Amino acid sequence: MTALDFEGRQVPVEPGDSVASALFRAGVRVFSRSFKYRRPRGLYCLTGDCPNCQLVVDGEPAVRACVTPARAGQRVERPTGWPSPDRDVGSLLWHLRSLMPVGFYYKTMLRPRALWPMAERVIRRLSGVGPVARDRQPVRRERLTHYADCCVIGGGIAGLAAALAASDRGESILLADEGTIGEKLAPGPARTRALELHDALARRTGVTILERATAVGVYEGPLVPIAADDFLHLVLPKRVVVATGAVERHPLFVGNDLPGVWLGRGAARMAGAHRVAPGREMVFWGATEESLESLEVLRRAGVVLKGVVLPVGLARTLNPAEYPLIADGEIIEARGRSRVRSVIVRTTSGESEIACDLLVVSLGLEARSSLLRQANPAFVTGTGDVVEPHGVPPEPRREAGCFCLCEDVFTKDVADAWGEGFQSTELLKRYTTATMGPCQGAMCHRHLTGFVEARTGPAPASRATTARPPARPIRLEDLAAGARYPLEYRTALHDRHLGLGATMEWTGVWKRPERYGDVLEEYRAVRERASIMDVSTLGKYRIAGPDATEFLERLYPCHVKTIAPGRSRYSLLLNEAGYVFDDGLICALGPQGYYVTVTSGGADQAEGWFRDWAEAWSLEVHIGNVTATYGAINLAGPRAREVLAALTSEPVDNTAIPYNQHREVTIAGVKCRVLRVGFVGELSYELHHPRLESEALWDALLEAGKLCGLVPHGLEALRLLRLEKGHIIVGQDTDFDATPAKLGLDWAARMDKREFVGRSALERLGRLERDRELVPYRFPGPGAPLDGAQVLADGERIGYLTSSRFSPVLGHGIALALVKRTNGTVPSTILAEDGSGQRFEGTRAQGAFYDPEGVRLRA
Amino acid sequence: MLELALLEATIVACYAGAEALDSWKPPRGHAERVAGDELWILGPRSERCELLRAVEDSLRAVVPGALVIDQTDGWAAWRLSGTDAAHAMARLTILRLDRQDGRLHQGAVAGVPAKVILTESDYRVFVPSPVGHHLRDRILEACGDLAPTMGSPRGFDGSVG
Repeated sequence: MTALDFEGRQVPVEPGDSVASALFRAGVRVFSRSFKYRRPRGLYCLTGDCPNCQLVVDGEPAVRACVTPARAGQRVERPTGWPSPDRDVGSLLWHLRSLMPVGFYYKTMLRPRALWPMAERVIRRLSGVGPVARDRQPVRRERLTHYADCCVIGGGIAGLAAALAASDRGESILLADEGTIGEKLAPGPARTRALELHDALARRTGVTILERATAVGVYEGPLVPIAADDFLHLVLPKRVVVATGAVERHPLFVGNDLPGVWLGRGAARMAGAHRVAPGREMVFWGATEESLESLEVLRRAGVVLKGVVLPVGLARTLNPAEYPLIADGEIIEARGRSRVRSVIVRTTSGESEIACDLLVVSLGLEARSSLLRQANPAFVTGTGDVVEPHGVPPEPRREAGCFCLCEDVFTKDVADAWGEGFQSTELLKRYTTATMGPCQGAMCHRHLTGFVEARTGPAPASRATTARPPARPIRLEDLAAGARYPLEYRTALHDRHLGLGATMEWTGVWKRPERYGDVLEEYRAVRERASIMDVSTLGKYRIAGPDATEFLERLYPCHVKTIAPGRSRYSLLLNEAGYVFDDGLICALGPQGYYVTVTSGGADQAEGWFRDWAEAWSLEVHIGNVTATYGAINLAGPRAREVLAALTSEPVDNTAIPYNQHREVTIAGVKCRVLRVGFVGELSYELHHPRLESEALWDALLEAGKLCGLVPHGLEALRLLRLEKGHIIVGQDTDFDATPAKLGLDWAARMDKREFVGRSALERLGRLERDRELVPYRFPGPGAPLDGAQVLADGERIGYLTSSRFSPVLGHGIALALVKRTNGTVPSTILAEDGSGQRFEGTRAQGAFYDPEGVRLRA
Repeated sequence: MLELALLEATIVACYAGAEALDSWKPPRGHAERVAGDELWILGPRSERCELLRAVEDSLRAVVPGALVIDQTDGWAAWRLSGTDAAHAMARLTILRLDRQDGRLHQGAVAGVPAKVILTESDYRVFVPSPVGHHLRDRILEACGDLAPTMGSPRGFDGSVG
C-alpha cells in the first residue's frame, strides 16, 4: 500500500484519494487554524471553495488538500499551530476577541509610533495561514497558448453540455476543469451523466480537455489564463462559457466553523466517492431536493441519523419511521470545543439539544460567479447553476457565527462595521476584509450583499463587489510562467569581452564591459597611447526621403540645413517642454540623407519619437533603425591614428578626416563609416560597420594596436574620461527637467531657428530665473566624493553631485553638480557629503577640467 | 520532433511611401510587407550583394527618395521544424500563427519583438541580432522535454508559400 508522509507519520493512500480524504481516513480532524483567532478548522466543502483544508504539500503552502490528488511519498503538514495544530495555544486569542474588534488595527497602536514595528511583528506571527517556504525551489513553468472558438470553464454537466452543443455547431472547443471530470460529484445519476458527456466530448475532433487546470481569470481579449501542473495555459477564444456551477450556501449560526460541520455535497462526496463516513452520529439540515440525495448517500454509508431538519414539504417525502424528522426547524448553534459535540435545534415548540459528532448542512446554492463577474458580457456567457437564481440567504442574527471563513470575520463584526458607518458592500469589504481571502468570497459574498440589501433594499450600496483575478489561489511561479528570464541584449563582441576577462554590467537592457582589469591602466591607454571600446549599443538611424532635412530641422534644436555632407554635428534632443531627453550626432550623407546616433539607453524611445513626429508633420521621410545592424568601435588616444593607418591604405590624417567629420573608409577589409568624435577628450574615431564583421575588426584593431600598447577600455574608464572633459551623460547628469541652459549647453539650442520641438517652451523658460544649474567643481586632495553626494553651501543642502571621480591626470577630485541658484548665481565653494560620512570642500571650475581648448581631440 | 536551425537569409529593407510600395514589383527575392512604409525583400545569404543592388536600382528608379538598407546583420533568424514545431511556438508566443491569416506574423516571441514567416514545413522566426542568443536559449529551455535537436545552418531557400 502506498502512503504519504503527514507530519512524520505514514498515512495510507487509496486509489482516488485526495490529500484531504487520505488524512481524514487516517483520523485527522483539525486541518488548519483560522486566520485571526486560531480556531480549529476541519473539512467543510470538499469542492476547493473554502479555506479550511489549506496545507503545506511538498513545501508548497496554501495547497487546497480536498482537490489535490494524494500521491505516495508526498510530504504534508499543517502550516500553523503551536505546540501542535490540534492543540494551539494561539486559540486563547478567541477569548481576547473583545480586545480585537473589527478594524482594530486601523484604530489601535497609533501611538507611540515606535511600538508599531513591534506590534506588527507580533500580529504577523500570530495571524495568517503559515509562512512562505523561502528555501523551496520554484518549479519552472512555461506558458502554452491555445486558440479556440469557445472556451468552456467548468466540466460539470452544464459545461460539458455547452461544449457538446458548441462542437455540434462546428466550433473548436477548449474545456477546462479544476479537477477531473465528475470527481466532485458523489456516485449517482449526476456523476454518471457527467462521465457520459465527457466520453462523448472527448471523441470529438477539435476538442481539447484540460483537467486539473484552474481558470484564474477572464480578461479582455478575451484571454483566459488557466493554471495547471504542466503549463500556464493562455487561452484566446472567440467566446467564453462560464460553467463553474455553484457552491452550497455557507450557513450562519454559532459554531458554524467547528470541525464536524460539513456542507452536504462535501459530506456526500467523502462518504460516496472516498468511502469514508464523515462522522458516526449525524444531524442533517436540508432544504432542497439535492439535499435529500446527499442525505441518502450518507445514510447508505452507515452514518447514524440523530435528526433530520427539513422544511415541512420535503419532510413529507420521507418515511418518518426511517428518518428522525424535525419539520420546519433550524440549527441555531453547534457546540463543542475542538469539534462538534451537539447541536441546538429551534422549532416552533422550542429549542432542543441533540448530541452528535457530525452536522451536515445543505440549504441551497450560491453561484460560483467570480469569473462571470470579471468578464465583459459581450463575449462571456454563463450556463447552469452559475446563472440560475438561487435567492437571497436569510439575514443573519447579530451573533450568528463565522461570516467569512478565510479572514475570520464574524457576523458581529459585520454588524459593528455597519454601525460605524461602513454602509455598503464595498466599504464593508474593505473595512472588515470579508470576501478578501483565498476563497474570494465564494462562501460569504452573497451573505455580504444580502446583509446590505436587508438594510438598504436594492440599491447601489448593496451591489456585488468587483470581482478580480485571481478567482482561485494561484502560485507565484504560475504568474511568472515564461517570463522569468531577463532579456539581455548583447553586442556582437560579447564573447570577445568575456574572453578578455571583462566584468560585465547592465546598462539598460544591454550587458556591457564595465572593465577588463585595471581601470587606471585602461584610462592611461586612452590618455597616453590608444584604446578601443565597444560602442555598438549606440542608437543608430538612417533618415532619408525628400523631407529628411526639414524633418530633422524641426526635430533638433541645432541647425541641420547647414551640416554639409561629410560633416557631423552634436545635438541634444528636447521634448515639447524643452527638457533634454537624449543627445547624439547628426551626420549628413548628401543625397542618401542622414545618419543619426542617439544614446544607448534612448535608442528605442528615439525611434518612437522620430516616427511620431514624422507622422504628425505628414512629412515624406523614411526612418530606418540600424541600431542592431551596425556595430561600432571607438578607437581613441593620441596614437589612434597610427593604429588606423596600419589597417587601411586610405588617408586618415587630420585633413582626410577632420574633427566633427565622417568618411567611408575600409579598415582591415571592413567597410566602415568613420566618425571623428571627442567624447573622451582625445583623438577618437568611431568605426561604424556591419555587425557581423565586428569581431574581425576588433581583432584587427587589437593586433595592430600592439605597436603602441593598445588595450580595450570599459565603461568605468569612459565615465572618468568624459567627466574630465566635462561631457554629460544624459540620464546621469540630467534631471527630468533639465533644459539646455541648466546644463550649460545654451549654445546647443539655436533660438534663431524659427521652429523646433521644445522651442516655445525654452523661450518661455528663458524669461524665468533658472532654479538649478549643472556646475563643475574640483576637490583638492587625493580623493573624491561618491556619485550622488549631497552638496551643501552655507549649511544648506543645495543639490547633489551627478558624477564624481578622482582625476589621475589632474591629481584631484572632479565632479559635476546639479545645484540650486541663489540670486542668479551658484556658490563658488561647496561641501560635498557622501554616504561614507566624509566631507569634501570643492571650488567651482570653469569649462572642461581637461584640455579645455579641445586641442587634443582635434589633433 | 523539433529541429532548430540557424537560418541564413539576406534582408533588404525598403522604406518608401505606402502607395509607392504597393505599386512597386520587386525584381527578385521574396517580399514581406512589415509596415505601411517598410517592405522586406528576403533572399539567400549567398545572393546578398546582387539582391541589394537589384532592389536599390529597381526601387530608386521608381521612388528616387526611397531608403534601401541591407538589414541582414540586424536580424537573427531561426528555423523551427518538425512535428512539434507548432507546439513549441505555442509555448513561445501568444501570436495566432495560422496560415489563413497570412504568412507574416509580428509580435513578441520569447519576450522579444519578432517577425514570424510561416511556410508549409517550418516557422522562420526573425528577432533583432542582439537577442538572437536569447531566442535560441529560450527555445531549448522551454521545449527541453521535446528533445529539440540543433540542425546545421540553413540557407534561405525561398519556399515561403
